[in-house]
Amino acid sequence: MSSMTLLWWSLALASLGFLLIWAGTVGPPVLLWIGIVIFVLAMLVAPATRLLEIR
Amino acid sequence: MPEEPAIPINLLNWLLALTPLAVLLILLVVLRWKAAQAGPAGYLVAAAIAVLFFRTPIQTLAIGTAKGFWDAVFILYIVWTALALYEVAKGGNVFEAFRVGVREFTPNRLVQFLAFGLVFVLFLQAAAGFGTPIAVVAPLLIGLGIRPLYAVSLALIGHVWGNSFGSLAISWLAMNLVVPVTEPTMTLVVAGVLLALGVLGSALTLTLAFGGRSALRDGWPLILALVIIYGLGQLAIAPFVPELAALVPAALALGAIYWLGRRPRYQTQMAGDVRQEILIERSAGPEVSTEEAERRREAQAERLARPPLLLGFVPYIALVGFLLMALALTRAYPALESLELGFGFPETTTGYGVTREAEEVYSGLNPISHPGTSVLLAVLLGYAALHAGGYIRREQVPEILRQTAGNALPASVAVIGFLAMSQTMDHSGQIFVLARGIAEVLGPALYSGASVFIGALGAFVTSSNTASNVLFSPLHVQAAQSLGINEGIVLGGQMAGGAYGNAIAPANMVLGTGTAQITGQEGAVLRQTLPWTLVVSLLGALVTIGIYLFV
Repeated sequence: MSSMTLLWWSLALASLGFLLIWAGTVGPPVLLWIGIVIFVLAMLVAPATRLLEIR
Repeated sequence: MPEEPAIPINLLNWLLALTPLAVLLILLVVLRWKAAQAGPAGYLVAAAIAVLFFRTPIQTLAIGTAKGFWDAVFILYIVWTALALYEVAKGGNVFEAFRVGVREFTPNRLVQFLAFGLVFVLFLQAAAGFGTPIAVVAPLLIGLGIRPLYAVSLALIGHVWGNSFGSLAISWLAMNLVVPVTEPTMTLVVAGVLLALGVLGSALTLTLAFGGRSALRDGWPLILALVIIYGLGQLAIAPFVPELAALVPAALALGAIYWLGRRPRYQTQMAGDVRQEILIERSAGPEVSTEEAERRREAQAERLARPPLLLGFVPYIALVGFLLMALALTRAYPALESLELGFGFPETTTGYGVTREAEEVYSGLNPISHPGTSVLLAVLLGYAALHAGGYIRREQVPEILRQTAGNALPASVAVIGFLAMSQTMDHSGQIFVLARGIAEVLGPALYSGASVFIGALGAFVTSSNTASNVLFSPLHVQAAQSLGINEGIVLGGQMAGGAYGNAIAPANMVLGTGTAQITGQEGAVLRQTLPWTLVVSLLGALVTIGIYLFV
């Protein structure tokens, strides 16, 4: 998987995380929890591109 | 006034609060990570510290994070459109038209350089802001033969002056929203003096970087005229009409450089040589002389159709026109200001009592006044004009879109990381601890000076003079009252520090490296702009201390 693909995943997951967090503030709070987990995952994906570069 | 948070202000908490920023700096500057890697890593560190040490509930972390994401959308609207503008201009061979056209205007390369690097960049900052000038001007400087790394660094340094009063003084208005500014004239005068110092620092740095001392000897009348127009112009206008304190001098400076550039003094070659270090030709290898590289480039450029200068300027004239039209529309019809897109968020709090109020529409995005719309319209009009002239083909559109996305993607992830980190630090109380810690160990004179550094720190964290003012103005007012300092001095120091800090603002750097096609070299840019920001902030701090002692 290339760095660009990982960055697309990061952007997509961060956007999904944002929408779920917002949905969690007006709807079921569980969405907020899922949203922040997905956002944190998105932020983990981007630094992981460093590993690809090192390899 | 919300209750004071109960976070213990001690060295351990202060160091913990400093950790995300230190990690970010080390990753970017020392370990040379790309911004798209360092920004998210900084967020993860800030989030972990928030939860583990600052009693931040997950709900508060999530809402702070979401607000940071929305702040990023605000910036990314400019990133994507400015990168598209760059790709359209590149596809239409516009930069070659500029390079040839500006040489016909004046053979003096210093005037050519300052026309873009100081004057046009400040006009865009005054009219638009939000990073637009960096994204637009960096490729223009590259078109003049400046190496991309220097093009970004010098554009960042060049745009500093316009931050506090640019975009109709939005930073000043934001300060007035969060604190009662009891000494408005003093605040505006102190900010004006410090920003005059800043533009002097920018002009000298740009000139010395471009051509060393000989350029300074050659260019001093022009530099002096520009610094007077910017520095004194803003100082004179700010106490009366802050909203126009950047736009009017910036427009006057455009006229001044056109008039001065036509004088006999600047219709000759610049005295001395341009420093080879900052020129692209140098990267062609030592065996290729500057003249040879120039000849090769001209021969290559001749093979490509080059639009006439005026046609090449169409996207940029359109950009300025749309920006001014948007300003005029929202001034004439205030109801248009209420057309905001945004999300509402509930109140948040932490175990230490750090609260952030609920907002019906958080940081609403107005599609009319947002500079991204003006840039988008300039892209469309610029493409249409270049297409009609036969300088860009429809078959180039997929490549333009592909290149735009390729550059905007890493910038987007970086900006999201930076701004989510910033909001996480704010909502958890880390920024409060950082600033309060500084306030508690300094006496009144040193705190006056520290207000400049705190403003710059806020701009580094949030990439915005406005956000820095919002974050730190309440702290300055509290500190000024307890230390017996005139509030205007520290608020003025805060405003100017927020402007200085924009030279190291990560979101601005990412905008520049994106359009300069050096994505990933943000650390190298920071290594050039950080010393400048520290030196100018130190000088600004000394001036502020002087004002405190003598007023």
